Amino acid sequence: MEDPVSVTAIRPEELLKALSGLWTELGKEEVEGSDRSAGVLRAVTMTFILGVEEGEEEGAGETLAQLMHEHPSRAIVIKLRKNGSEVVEGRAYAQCWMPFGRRQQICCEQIELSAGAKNLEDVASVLRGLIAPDLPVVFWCRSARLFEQKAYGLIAGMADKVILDTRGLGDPQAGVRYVAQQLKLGRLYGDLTWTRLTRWRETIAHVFERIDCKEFLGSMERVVVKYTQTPEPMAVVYLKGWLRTVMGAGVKIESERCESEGSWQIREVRFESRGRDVVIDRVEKGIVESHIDSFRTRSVFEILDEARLVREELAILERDPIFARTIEVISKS
Amino acid sequence: MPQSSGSANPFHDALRFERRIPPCSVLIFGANGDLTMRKLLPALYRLAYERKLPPGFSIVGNSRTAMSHEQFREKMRVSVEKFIENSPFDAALWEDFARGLFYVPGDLGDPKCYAALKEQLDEIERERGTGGNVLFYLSTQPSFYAGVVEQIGAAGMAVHGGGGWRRVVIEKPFGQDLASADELNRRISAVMAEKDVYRIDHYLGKETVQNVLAFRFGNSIFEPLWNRQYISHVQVTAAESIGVEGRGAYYQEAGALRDMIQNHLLQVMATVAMEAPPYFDSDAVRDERAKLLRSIRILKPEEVDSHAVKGQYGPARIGNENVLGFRQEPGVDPEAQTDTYAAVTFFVDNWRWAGVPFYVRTGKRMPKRVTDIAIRFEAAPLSLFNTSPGAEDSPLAAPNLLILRIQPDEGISLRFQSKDPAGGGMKLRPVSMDFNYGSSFGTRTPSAYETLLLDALAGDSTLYTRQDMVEASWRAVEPILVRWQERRFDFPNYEAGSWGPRESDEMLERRGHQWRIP
Repeated sequence: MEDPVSVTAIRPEELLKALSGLWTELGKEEVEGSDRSAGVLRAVTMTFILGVEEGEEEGAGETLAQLMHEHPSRAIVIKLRKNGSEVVEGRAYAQCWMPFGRRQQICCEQIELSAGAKNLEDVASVLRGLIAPDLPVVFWCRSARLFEQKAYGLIAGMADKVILDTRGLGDPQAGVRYVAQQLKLGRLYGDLTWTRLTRWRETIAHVFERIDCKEFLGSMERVVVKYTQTPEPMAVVYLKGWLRTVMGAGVKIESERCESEGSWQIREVRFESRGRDVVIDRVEKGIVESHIDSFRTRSVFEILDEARLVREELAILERDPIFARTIEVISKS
Repeated sequence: MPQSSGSANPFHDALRFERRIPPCSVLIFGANGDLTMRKLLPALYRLAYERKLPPGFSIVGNSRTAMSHEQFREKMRVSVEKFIENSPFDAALWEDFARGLFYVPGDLGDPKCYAALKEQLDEIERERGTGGNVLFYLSTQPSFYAGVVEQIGAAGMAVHGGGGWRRVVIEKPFGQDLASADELNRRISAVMAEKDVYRIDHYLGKETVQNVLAFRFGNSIFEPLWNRQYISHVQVTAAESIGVEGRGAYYQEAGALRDMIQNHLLQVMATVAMEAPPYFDSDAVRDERAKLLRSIRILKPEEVDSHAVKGQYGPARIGNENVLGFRQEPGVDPEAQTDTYAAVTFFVDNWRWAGVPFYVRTGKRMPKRVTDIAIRFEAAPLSLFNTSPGAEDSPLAAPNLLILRIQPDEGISLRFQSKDPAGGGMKLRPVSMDFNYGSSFGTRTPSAYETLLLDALAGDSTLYTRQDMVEASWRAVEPILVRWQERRFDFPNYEAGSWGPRESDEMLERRGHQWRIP
């Protein structure tokens, strides 16, 4: 990471000027014959706004660095300072990396704005001047506290897509209802709690590739989702909602808490029909096993870090009808 | 267990899930060979790792070597661990993947071998619920293709009574000339329908070749310029720095024109020059490629010498190493007339491209390994700047050049003129605007075999070659092959480590052009 250029007043033109200066400096490295650079590629495909709690910026920054490789962006990190702080600061810096086997660095620009809750609206007003023109804007609100601020609506209003993680919010159910409402208004929203379910949902879909769906679903009596934590995790609520959208009201969809050595939330999904059961079972970290009668097969559940989840959401900058139907079902229940 | 049916899967989420592949098996003929071990199995394992293969997916290997299922599994494990690229090897996943690996030894000419294979496939269908869907992969010597397909037919394996699909993949070369390609097709099509024959050209599976389509038809700014009015000429280069690497005996029968231009490079050229399909669908895309290939002007015998150059490398010293000439390579006839270099000037007789030369060249023992397509635009109609005498011939007076880099350093560069800030005045200097694909951004791009195998399993033949395309490309090179067969060449005519014979440069100079150095 390059040395940051700080500005005392958070005026957009000052920050943009600082960024411009940074690029000039990076370009000079080549002229001066730095052995680590054969030129710098400035890459921007979107404005990526990240809302983060003070103290968590390091972990979030690592995620951001991973995302930059596939989604080079002008990243604007809004750091929400601890309660009571009235300090408002801005700084610009560049995130650079040297792809393996190459001599040209790729650099993305980053701006960090930090403020306490009281001054967050000031920060929101500055954002308007910092958004890269003509490119999509995505806002990942990683801070539950920021979600509760009035400024959240201002920032979210500038974004083409907003990414939340409802399981981390103070009231996840209320968060889901809010997202459902926003989707109805035509806004694009993603929820990482839903994104985490893609592997489960895909495994279920794969299993039903092997079975005559019409026949099996016609005789389906009950689906049970077993989970390990208390209270019932939001992921389980989502999974049941999705199953309901697929199976309609005629099938019982239930959840049960069970004891398990693993720390994962969903332990098993069991489809019970007249005459046969299909079970998808989490056997160990990273592996699920599907049982269809006497046949069993294993699938890899790759470790999902935040970067992978956000990456999946960044690939969907359009309406996601299955998510919308599911969230509508669960927000009503 | 009950078989899967064609009923729609209501659990599918096209926006987030990988493409659906129905339960199926792959039967590989030649499973003990290099292609299987280096490319096919690592690609299939990688697809399993990425959860792109369906549950119950199975592979049956066949070759003459006697081996048990377990020995075959172990051999494939060693190969996958050795040849898998940019991917981890997961022992737990392998255990599950290996449960779907089976081996049936047998001679390709022996009907009993096919009976045993059928029995194995039937058992897999029962036990692993593959629904009777089978992809036959012919990783054998080309001379076996027709015979194997006929035996598949005779054993009743070309169709499935329960509605499962049966497809066959064959590797190039698809014949040695037009007549043999027609004969091969006649024998294959007596058993399998054309829609079930997948002729693999791994060049079309390369991400960057596919990106040519995205670049051309996903953007609107280039297409208006993509014609004879704005483009001076096109150069397609596929250079290899290596020699024949122990394949001398095979290569001296094939040669560069057959091995590269007739298939890979004409397909690349067709991708660059074809019209936009009405929609992105296998037949629509292939119709346009085929139409372009049929529009290539067929050279008259008397035109061949001025439009095509045949070359063969001689010995040289490269770096601190003495490099053998082709005729000194093991297994090569010391009087061989084989082309290790071929360059051809093609013309496309349609309204878009009439009069625009497409220079296509390929060679072994060139200075470096590179494949790219260079689109050279016409110069600005009036030179407002750099008006001093001789400025027009200066290397700085370079017209716009668009480079589509296929390998290595996949990407796109656009050269354009910019004001030179040094020295004052209005002097221009060419500068390059570069775009690097996936690797620059740290993403893993799938290998060509991963892409193509997945397409074949999904029934998508967009990136496979159709018989009419094979015939059209043989027609385009046939006059050259005939003329080269008649003539005796004074070889070698270029040194290993150079950019090819002088005659190749002269071919372009006659039209006022020159090969760029990639």
